[in-house]
Amino acid sequence: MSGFQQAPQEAKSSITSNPFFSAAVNVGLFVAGVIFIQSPLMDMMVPQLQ
Amino acid sequence: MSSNFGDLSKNLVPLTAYTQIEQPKNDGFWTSNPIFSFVNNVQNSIINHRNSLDLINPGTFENINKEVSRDVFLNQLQFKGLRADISKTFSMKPIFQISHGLSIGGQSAPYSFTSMFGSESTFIQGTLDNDLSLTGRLNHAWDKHITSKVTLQLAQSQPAMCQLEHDYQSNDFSLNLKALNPNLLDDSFQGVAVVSLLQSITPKLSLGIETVYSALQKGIPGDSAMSLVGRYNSGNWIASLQAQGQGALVASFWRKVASNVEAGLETNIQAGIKPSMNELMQPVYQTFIEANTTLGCKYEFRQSVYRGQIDSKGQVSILLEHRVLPTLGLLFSASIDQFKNTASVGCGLSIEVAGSEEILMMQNGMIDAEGNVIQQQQQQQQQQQLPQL
Amino acid sequence: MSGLNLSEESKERFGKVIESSKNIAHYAWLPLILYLGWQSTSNKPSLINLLSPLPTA
Repeated sequence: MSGFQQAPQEAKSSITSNPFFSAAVNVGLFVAGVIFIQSPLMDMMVPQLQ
Repeated sequence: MSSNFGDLSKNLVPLTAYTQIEQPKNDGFWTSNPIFSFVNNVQNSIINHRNSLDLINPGTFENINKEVSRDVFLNQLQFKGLRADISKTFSMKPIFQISHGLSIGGQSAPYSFTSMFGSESTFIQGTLDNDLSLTGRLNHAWDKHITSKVTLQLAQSQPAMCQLEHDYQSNDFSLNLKALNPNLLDDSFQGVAVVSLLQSITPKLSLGIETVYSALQKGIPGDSAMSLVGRYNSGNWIASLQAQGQGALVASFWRKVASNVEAGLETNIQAGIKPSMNELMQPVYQTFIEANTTLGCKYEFRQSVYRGQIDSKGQVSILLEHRVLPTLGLLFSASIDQFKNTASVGCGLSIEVAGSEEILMMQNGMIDAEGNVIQQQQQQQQQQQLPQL
Repeated sequence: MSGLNLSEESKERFGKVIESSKNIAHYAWLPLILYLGWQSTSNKPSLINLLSPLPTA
């Protein structure tokens, strides 16, 4: 069981330890954020008062 | 020769240079000379072309992503612990205000005294805290385009900090010169010098460049870094990108979703080199990249402003500002770091008192800033402009 | 970038001038603002009214 858990962890750490991984993740987050802010979802967050 | 240089240097003079282009006299030696007449023609056509572009001032270099980092995000407003500010206004034109600040459990000093005076051309402010350390700021506008700024930080046990700044804002570019703790007395310049230029390329796009030279210690040669920035303003959304010489990349995006809602996004990627040990215990240099993305929004109501933000490092923060009465405001600031399991809370109170009859009447909504009596009808109209909450 | 070539003596004098102007700025900054503000007010409040946080109208 423990060996089963260890293996994917190692594989994951080799990707995440790459310094460009976090840069790529954040570029992805930025693009997703721009899409979110420009989407009608953001317009729905405007409070409808009065 | 001087007349030609005079014409060339007019490129730096805003407005008047564009409206009153002096046609060079054709009989002078320097203007009849084919080379210089060519130079003058090219220069005049550049000025005319610049006029025809309808460019506007791009704002200052520092404010390249102001809408996101200063208006929507709450990092600069956040505080911890309890805080109370009692400010007393004596006059509005020119503005003159003093304030007493009390703080417990936060980073700021337990007691601070601030006074502020601002006329149309000069703004001067000073804060003295209970350790007798002074923070001073002086801005003086020489005319519509030229502003000089001095920022001082004087404490008794720490080295003094003095920053001199000079701003030139033309109708299509902004130039800023900055010097931090300049020292010309020794054999070489010491301190930090910054030159930045932001130029409008089209009415929506502006590009800028900044150079920083810093020589902080005697005998160690100074180093310089260059940053490039771009900003695109499309009316209800603004995008900006900064490539900083220290190895950082900052991208930001802002949108005005509705009249009272704004959303902002910023991604910061910082690359660097850090020393570490390898398996054989030998020192090696390893590159690292730190990145963070923050998403925030701001809701403005008639009596309150709500801000909230979340970032990719697991930090969630909110800041609520609510004006209970015209003279009493409440502040609530909280943040939780989901990954580090830490949290901080701040509560604040701001009280405004009047130092003269006019200010008292203004605070009660009886007269406006110009000293005119406000009619009941006008008052109701003003209140209907923003939704109540 | 080469600085000004000054003799040791004048450097020392400049250092003293800078040091004393720092002290002057440190202790005269707030009184200057208070004076500028005071002379712009219509009712010319007294020093106690100027510094106290209580309303004086």
